[in-house]
Formats: sequence, C-alpha cells, structure tokens
Amino acid sequence: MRLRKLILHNVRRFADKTVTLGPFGDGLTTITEENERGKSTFFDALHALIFHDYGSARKEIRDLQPYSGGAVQIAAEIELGSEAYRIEKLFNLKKAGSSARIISLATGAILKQADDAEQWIHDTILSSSKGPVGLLWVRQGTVGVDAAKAEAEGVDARRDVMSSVRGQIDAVTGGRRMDTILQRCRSELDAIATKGGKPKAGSQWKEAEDLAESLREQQAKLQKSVDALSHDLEMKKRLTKRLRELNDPALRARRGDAIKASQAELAAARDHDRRIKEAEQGLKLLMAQEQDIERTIKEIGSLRDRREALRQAISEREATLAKIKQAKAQVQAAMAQQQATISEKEAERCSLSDALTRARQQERSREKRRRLIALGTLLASLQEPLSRLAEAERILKMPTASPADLERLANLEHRRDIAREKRKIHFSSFLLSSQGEQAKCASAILPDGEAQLIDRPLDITLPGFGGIQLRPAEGAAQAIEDPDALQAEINATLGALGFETVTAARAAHDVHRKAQDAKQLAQAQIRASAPDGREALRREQDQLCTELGCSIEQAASLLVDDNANAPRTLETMEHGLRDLDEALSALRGSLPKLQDRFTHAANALTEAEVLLGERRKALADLAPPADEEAQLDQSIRARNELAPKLATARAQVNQLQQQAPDLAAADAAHQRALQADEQDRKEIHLQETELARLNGAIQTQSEGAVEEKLAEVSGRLTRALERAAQFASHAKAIDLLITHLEAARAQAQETYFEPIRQELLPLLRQLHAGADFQIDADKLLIDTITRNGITDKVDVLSGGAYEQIAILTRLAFAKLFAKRGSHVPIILDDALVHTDDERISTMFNMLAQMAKDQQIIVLSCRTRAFSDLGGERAFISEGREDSPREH
Amino acid sequence: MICSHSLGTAGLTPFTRSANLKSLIMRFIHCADFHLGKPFGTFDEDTRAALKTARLDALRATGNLAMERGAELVLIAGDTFDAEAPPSRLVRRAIDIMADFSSITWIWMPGNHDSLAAVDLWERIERDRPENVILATKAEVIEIGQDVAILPAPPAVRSPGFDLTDWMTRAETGDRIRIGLAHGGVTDFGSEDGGLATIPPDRAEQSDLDYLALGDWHGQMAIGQKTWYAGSPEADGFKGHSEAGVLLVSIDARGTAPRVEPIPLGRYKWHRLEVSFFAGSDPVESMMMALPEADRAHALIKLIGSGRLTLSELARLKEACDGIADAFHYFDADLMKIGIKQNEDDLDLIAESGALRVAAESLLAETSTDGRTEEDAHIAQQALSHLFHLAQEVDQ
Repeated sequence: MRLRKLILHNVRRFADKTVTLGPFGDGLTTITEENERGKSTFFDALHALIFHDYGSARKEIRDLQPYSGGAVQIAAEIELGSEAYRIEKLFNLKKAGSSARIISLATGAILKQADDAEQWIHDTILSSSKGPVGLLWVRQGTVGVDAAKAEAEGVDARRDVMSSVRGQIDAVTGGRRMDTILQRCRSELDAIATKGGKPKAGSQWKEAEDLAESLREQQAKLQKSVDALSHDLEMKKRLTKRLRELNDPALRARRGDAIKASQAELAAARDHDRRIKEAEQGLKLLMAQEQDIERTIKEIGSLRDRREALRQAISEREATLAKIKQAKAQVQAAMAQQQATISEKEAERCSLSDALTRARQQERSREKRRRLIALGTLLASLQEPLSRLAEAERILKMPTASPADLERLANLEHRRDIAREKRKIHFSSFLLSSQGEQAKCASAILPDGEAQLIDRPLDITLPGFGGIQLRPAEGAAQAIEDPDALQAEINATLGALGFETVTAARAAHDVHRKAQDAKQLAQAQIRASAPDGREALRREQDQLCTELGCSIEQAASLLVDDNANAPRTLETMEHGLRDLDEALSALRGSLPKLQDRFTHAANALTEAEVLLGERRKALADLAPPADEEAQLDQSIRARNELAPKLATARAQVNQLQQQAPDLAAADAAHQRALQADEQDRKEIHLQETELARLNGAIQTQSEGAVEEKLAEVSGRLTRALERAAQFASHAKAIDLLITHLEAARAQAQETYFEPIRQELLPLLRQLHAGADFQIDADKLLIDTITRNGITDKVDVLSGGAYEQIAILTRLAFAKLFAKRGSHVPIILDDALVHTDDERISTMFNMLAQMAKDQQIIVLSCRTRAFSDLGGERAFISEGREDSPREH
Repeated sequence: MICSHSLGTAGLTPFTRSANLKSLIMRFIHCADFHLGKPFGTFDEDTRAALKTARLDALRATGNLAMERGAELVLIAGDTFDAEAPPSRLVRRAIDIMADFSSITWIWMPGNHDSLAAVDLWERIERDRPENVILATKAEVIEIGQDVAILPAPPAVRSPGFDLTDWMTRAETGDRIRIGLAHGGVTDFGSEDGGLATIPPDRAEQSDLDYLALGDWHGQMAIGQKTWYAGSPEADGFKGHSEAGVLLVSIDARGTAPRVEPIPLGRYKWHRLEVSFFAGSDPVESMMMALPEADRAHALIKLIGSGRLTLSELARLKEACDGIADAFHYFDADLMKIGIKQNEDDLDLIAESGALRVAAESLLAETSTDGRTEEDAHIAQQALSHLFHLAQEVDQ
C-alpha cells in the first residue's frame, strides 16, 4: 500500500475547513512544519480512518472534533498495486449519518459502503492473513510494543507501533494462546512432578507412589505371615500323619506284645544265670580247698629250699672272709714300708737345707762388698759437676739486667736517637769559630767547629764581644722529645741497675744467662748419679764398711777370692733340695691310696662277718619242726582226694554255661522294647504339644485372614502401581507436550525473526559497527545488543540510541515486507527527537536508502534539521481540495 | 476303601428309598469354585465388600436352587474357599448355610485353593460340620444310599502334579451310579490358575463314570457328554466366561447319559467389552451399544477400546465414559489402544497455523508406533489429547 494524500474536513483546529496533506511520493516524503500546524492532527485522523469503525464515538474520535462540533470527515487516497482508492469516513458521533466509503479513483465508482467498506479496510489493509500490516507507525516516545497491554487496550493500542505485526507474530508463534497452554502444562507438571521428573511431595502421584510403597511393605509382611502359615500347615500335616502312625492301635499292640515277650525271655535268662552262679560258687569252694592244700605243700617245699640255700651261702661267705683278711694284711705291710722310706728322705732334706742357708749368707756378703766398691766410684765421679755448680752459683749472685730492663733501655736509646735526628732537622744550628776565648753558654764552653742547635733559648757569652741570645723558632720543638731528658732517664736506669753503660748491662745479662744454664746442667748430672744426694751415698758407704768390717780396698781384695766357686755350689744345693721335695711329695701322695685300700679291706671284713652272722642266725631260725614230714604227707593225700570232685564241679559249670541264654541280649531286647514304647509316648507328647502350638499359630493366622489380606493388599498394590504409572505416564505426556510446544515456538520465532534479523543487521551496523543483537519476540524489538564483545540490554541505552534502534527495527520489518510484495508505508512522527546531529545524519542516509523501494513519510517540527533529509516534500494546504465527501 | 453314608434326616431321596431306586431319576447340583473370601484387591472398598458378600450369597442360592429343583444332593467340586486358612467366621458361615438346608446332602471336596494341605481348615470343618455335610477328603468311594457312589479325587496339595482320578478306574461300586468328583485342569484344556493339567479328558469313559463333576475352571464348560466344569456360581473376573451359575444334573439310571442344565446364579455380571472404534462413526454411540442395558447396578464393566479416532472423537468418548461410569457397579475404560487418526479439523481446533499447529503435528507424528515403542507412542497420544483438551479450554 502506498499513501498518496490525506484530506480532512472539520477536524480539530480545521473547524469547518477542508485541508489537504500531500502528495506523498513513492519514496521519502517529509513534512516539516512548526508545532501547532496540525501535523499530528492529520495522522491521528489517519489512525481513526483505518482503525476505527465509522460508527465509533470513542474518545479518539471525539478528540478529532473541533470545539464547534459537527461531523468529522477524513479521507485518504491510497494505491494498492496498480489500483488507486479513496477511503472516506464520516464520524457523526452518536448521531445518524456516519458513513464509510471506498471509491475507485480511476472510475469514481463507489466500491464499498458502510460495513462493507469497513470489511474492505480490514481485509485489505489490516488483516494479517492478507499481508503483514497496513502501515508501520513510529511516534515520538513510542518505540516498543507491550503485547499484553495491546491486547488489553484493544483497538486503541493498535495505533501503537506494529500492533498488527504483533498479531501476525502471535499467529506464527502461538501468541498468548501458546503462552497460556504452556503455562497450564507447566503448572500441571509442577503440581505432580519435580524438575527431575520424580513425583512431587504432596502430589497425587507421590501419594500413589507412597501408597504403593506402603502396600509393598504390607505385602512383604503378609507374605511372610502366609509363608509361615503354609509352613505351619505343612508341619501340622506331617505331625498329624506322624501322630496317626504313633497312635495306630496295631502299633501299640505290637509294642505291648514285644515288651511282654522280651520280659519273659529276660526272666528265663536270669533264672539260668542264677543256677550258673550257684554252680560256680561250689566250684570256687573246691578250688579254694585245693589252693589251701597246694599252698601247704608248697610252703614246706619252700622252707626246705631256703634252708639249703642258707647253708650254701654261709659256706661261700666263710671263704670270702678268709680272702679279705689276707688282703688286709698285705696292704698293712705295704703302708709300713712306705712310711719308712718317707722318714729317710725327710732327714736327707733337712741336712741339705742347712747347707743351702749358709751358702746364701755368703752370697749376700759378696753383694755388699760389690756395692761398697761401686759407691766409692760414684762419689768420685760427683766432684766435677759439684765444682761447676759452685761456679755457676757464684756468677748468679753478681748484678745483672733483666730482659725487660734491657728492652726498656733499648727503647729509650731509640727514642733518644730519633729525637736528636729530628732536632737536627727542625732546629737551626750554628758553628763557632772563636779567636780567643771560647764562647760559653750557661757557663759551659761551646767548642768551635761543632754545630750547635738552637733548640732552646741560648744565652751565649762571647768573650770580647759580649753576649748573644739565640731563640728557637716558635713551635719548632713541638712533638719532639727531649734527647737529654731521655739520656738522663737512660742513665738513671743504668744507675739503678748498677751499670755504667748499656753495653755493660747487656754483657752482664749474657754471663748471668750462661751461668744459669751451667747450673741446671750440673744439677741434672748430680741428680742422675745421686738422686738422694751425695750425703746419702756417703752414709750408705759408711754403713757397708761397718757391716763388712773392712774398708773399700779390703772389700775389693776379698771379692776377687769369693767369685770363683760360690754361685755354682749354691745352685747345686738348690737342685738337690728340689729333687728331694719332689720325691717326698710322690711318697706322701701314694700313702692315702694305701690307707684307703686298708680301710676298704677292713670294712669288707666287718661286713662279711655281719652277713655271715645273719645267715647263721636265719638258718637257726628255719630249723624244721618235728611234724614237718607228716604234715606234708597229709596234704598230698588230701589233694589227691579233692581232684575228682573238682572235675565234676567244673563239668557242671561248663554245661550250665553252654546252655545259658544271652542275658545281656535278653535285657537289651527288653530295654529296647521298653524304650521304643517310651519313645513313642514321648514323641506323641511332643508332637501333641507341637500340634497344639501349631493349631494356635494357624488359628491366629486364620483369624487374621492373612491370605485374604495378602491377596487384597496385592490387588490394591497392583491398583496403586497402575495409578502411579498413570501419573508417570501423564507427567511424561505433559513433559513431551511442553517440549514440543517450546520447540515449535522456538522454531517459529527463529523462522519469523531470522529474516528480520538479516535485514536489521546491516542497518544496525551502520550505527554501531560490528554490533550484534537478539530480538525480543514479545516486544518486537531488539532485546540485547552486543558491541565489542559486551552484551547490554537495549533499554540501558541512551534515549537516542534506543529511539534509533526502534526505527531501524521498523525499517527492517518494512523492508522484509516489501521483499515479500507487501509495501508498507512507514510513518515517522517526530520519531527522532533524541538523536544527535551526527547520528541523525546516518539515520537520514539509511532512510534515504530505504526509501528507494519503500514509502516513508517523515513528520517533524525540526524544520532546519530535517531540511537535509531530502526526498519530496508535502505541505498542508487549505481549501485546495474538496472536502472528503459530499453529503 | 468304601465309606457308606445314609442320608440325612429326611431319608426321602429317590436313591435311598428302596430296591426300585434304579427306576428313579437321580438329580443333583454340581457346583464348584465359590472362592469364598476372595479379596478382589484391585477394586475399591465398596466393590470389594459387595463382591465378597455375593459369593457367600451364591452358596445359599445354590441351596435354594436344590430345594426348588428337587435335588437333594449338592456336589462341591473344590475351591469353596479362596485360601487355605480363611477366617473362622467365614468357615462358620458356609457351614451354617449348608446346615440350613438340612434336607440336602452336601458332598464337599477340597480344591487346589483349599487343598488338604489346609489341615486346620478341614479339621475344623470335620469338627463343626452338620450331619448333612459329607467331606470328600479321601480318594475312596462314598456310597450314598444303595444306588449312588461318589468317587472323589481330593487334591492333597495345591499342585499335586499327577492324575488324582486314576484310582476311579479301579474303584468297585457294583451297580451304583458312578459319579466322579475332581478338581483341576484336563490334559488338553488347562487349569484356571495355569497349573499343570493332569485329568484326562476321557476320564469318565476310562473309569466308566456316569458323570464326572469337575471344578477349577471358573466358567461352565462341557468337556464331554459326561464331563462338566460347573464354573463359579458367582463370576469373579473379566475372563469372559459363560454366565456364572451351577449345573443341575439328572441321571436316569446307571449307564444312561446325564442331562445337564446350566442354571445361572451369579448376581454380578462381569463384562469385558472390546470395542473397535472408527473415525467418522460416533464413538459414544458405539460404546453405548456395547454396554448392557439391564441391571447396570450389578454390572462390572471393563471396556477396552481399539481402532482409531480423531482427537475430538476421542475427547467425546472420554467425556462419555466419565459420564456413564457411575451407572455401573464398576466401570473401567482402557482407551490406550485407540490410535489417533490425523484429522485436519482436529488440528485446526488446536490451531490452524503457527507454532501450536506445528507442535500438534509433530506430536501426531509421534503417535505412530513406527520406529518407537508402544509406550512412547501412547505418551505422545496422551500429550496430543491433552493439547487438544487445553486448546479447547483456552479458546473458551
């Protein structure tokens, strides 16, 4: 659609006037008029023409009426494809006469009237099924679409930007219907399921699950009870069968008969056993008699044997006793011989010991003589070191200087010499050459030709001349010691030491040191020869002379005589003594063995004599009684008489034993019969007790109807599981539905908005280089914009930027519609009020660019700024058109 | 071994009177599988209580029927109780009901649910039974008067695993009418509980029986001319058995073919309705046609839908199910197997175009089992149905 002209009559300030706005070109048309010139009136009227029914008396229509009242007439000339139409409406505001017409401009024919005309407008311009929109409108301050608000405000809101686009998008994406259905689905799913698809606490699904779980537990418990019941029933069946078997009369009769039979057999066996025992008792009696007789015979025989044995033993003991006595005598003789030999050896040893004592005394006298001679030699050798010691001690008593004194003197001399040299350097000097009397200074004569230093005030008397006073320069003597004072100190030190010169002091020190060394050497030699001193040696010498009763010389001569034989004699005697000792020791050592042998022989003799005595006494004790023989004969006769009786008794016992029934077997059989019966009774008792218990348990379970309850709970569990499964299935279905709905909507949005995005992107990048964005499907506006990697919500942008983006979005929509063959006029009504000059120029460029294949109508009060926009210009003209209609 | 019984106090039964009994008609009720105490746990409490009560009432109804139809002998072919240890009061009630019909002789045999392994149960019954109740707890001939021999094969345990009726061939009964009484599945047929079937189908012929009264299978069924399952007197499941009741058996004389008359007794009717739905036809009408009209208060319905319906049809069917459920004693509709037929109008009702339409179409594609499990397809179907439902609500 292209808008060509608007004609108003009796609208607002144009009361009772007809005004025209146009013409509008194919591309860009600008209307720049100052405020209050009626620009907005034209486009409010255009809204009313398109969006309001001719019979409407809404506020928007009433607002178009001038103060003077009257019907409002609005007409627009448009082109749709190759056809041109005029749309006219007369709003008479609650009065009759309102009308609407569609007129063909080519023929002037009225094509549609009244409601048909409205339907034509709706179908041709507004219907979303025929085209996206009739026009796009951007008014100052209106940049977005609030879908909910648009719906709530109905037709009024459709005046806002792109409300018809909104409708079409809703048709594609499902719109509020989709939202409502999705919301319902989410609410339903949320009511029963968690986000993880599990039953939600408090939901019917969870209740069903919980019930199923509870029933499952009940089922398990009941199953246990039923199993226990089955077990008890089985046990009872077995017990009953067993009890029936145990109580079987035939069995009971069999048991009784068995007991009786075994009892009879046992009694017979016991009787036979008693008879055997009686026979055995008789046999035992005869056997006892036989044993007594045998014992008597045996005892007599035994006594005889013992007597003979004793006699034999006494004879043997007597022979042994004789042998022992002979051995004892032999040992005793050997001992006497051994004792005599020892006595001889001891006498010989005593003699040799005395000789040895004497020889040792002689040897000690020879030793003393040798010592006496050695002491004389030693005392003579001490004379020379004693003389050197006395000389050294004499020298050491003379004056000397210590090393410290010598050090001090050397230091003073050194300082004195330095002071003298310094004075020579620092002080002036003079030479005298007298021709007569020599000059004096402080009464001392000053020699001629000798340099005199002026190092102190000198008052010199010059004979024949008078006197002269010489003074050293001021400060010349500073830091220089006085050599005379130093010399005086040297002299004083020497005087104190007792020397006249330093050289003498040093010489004395050397002599003294050497005397010290000589003294130490002499003392060492004396200590080595006579550690206790020479006097000790002399005392020892004197004592030896006294002990020996001779002088040193006599001792020396005697010593020469003794040295020849004495040592060898002494050694021989010592050897002889050792040999005797060894021989004695051997003799004495063998003596105890002989004594032991003697003692042993003596003891053996005593013992043999005792034993012999005992045997003799025993033999005497065993003297046979007088009737021993008679007694033996009697016993033998009795034994012979008893033998046949014994044989008879043994045969009787054997016969009875062979004929005897097995008493143990009979007893065991009887016990077995009794035990079997007793066990039966015990088992019956136990089984009956157990049966009573089982009956109680079974009855309890039966009264509890556990099987019925189990079956009932199982059924209920099945039902609960089915119900839970239904909820699970329902939850899955809703989840699936939500998934499909969301996917379809996302796909629809992408399908719808992607082309718009492609259109918008180059436009936006003219304003914001490199920017990217996301479209908000609800607001039909860019939601976020990304520049330099930073994403911002679009509503944080400045008013100008926001306004520009809104316009660009509409331009993109329009461009897309144009490509699809639906040309949509874009009307920008004071839409760039916040845009700065630089951006507005860019916007103008884009508008100019867009206007090549797009009708754009720009209204602005900024005459100067928008004069640069270019394009065609339209004007408001009064009275140059006919009123919209002729009525 | 032979066990002889003179009949109760009346002593008027045709086959106890005199030597000319053979000329008289022997008539008895053959019943089985009362399953007293069956819990019906999958149902709600009220339904459970009602169903349990009905089973005890069926026992009394059997007695009444015997009285009405002149049958003085009732053969119970096992499974009187559902469990081996039923509550004592329930046992007491059953015994009391039998005692109330003192002129009728009850031949009471254990089944697999209340086998002889339930020692306590049968001891209690033996202890408390009235005179007109004869327990068939041993495989031995029970002589009834002069003319009838009952040959019971009581199960000693729940699954004996061998043919208990084998002994019947060797049983000596003279000229008496030979009536076998057994519980379990036949060789070529199977057991109600899926156990090992061991009774040969021609047992009656093999053992020269005049009639073989079987229990275990809960539906009435003739295995042969002389071999019948009595079925449960009160139905207990949706297995689709024939109408629950007992059999009135008449035998004119030894060696003559029995005349068997099934007599319905059950109070509650269990209906397993498998309905195929077709898109384009009215699903509600199809369902209504399948539902029973009479005595809905005592009808238990398990409706299993199959086929394909459009979303709107399926929604209407669900709504109809919800609306009619309370008319029945129990109503359960399983519509999971009904596929969704793609229908533009249905999808248009969700959305003519746009994302909702896309979502609906993608879900519809997932309702197919091609390349996915039945469960996944069903989930997708649920999701699509829910979308349809929500779309209608949102439009409203």
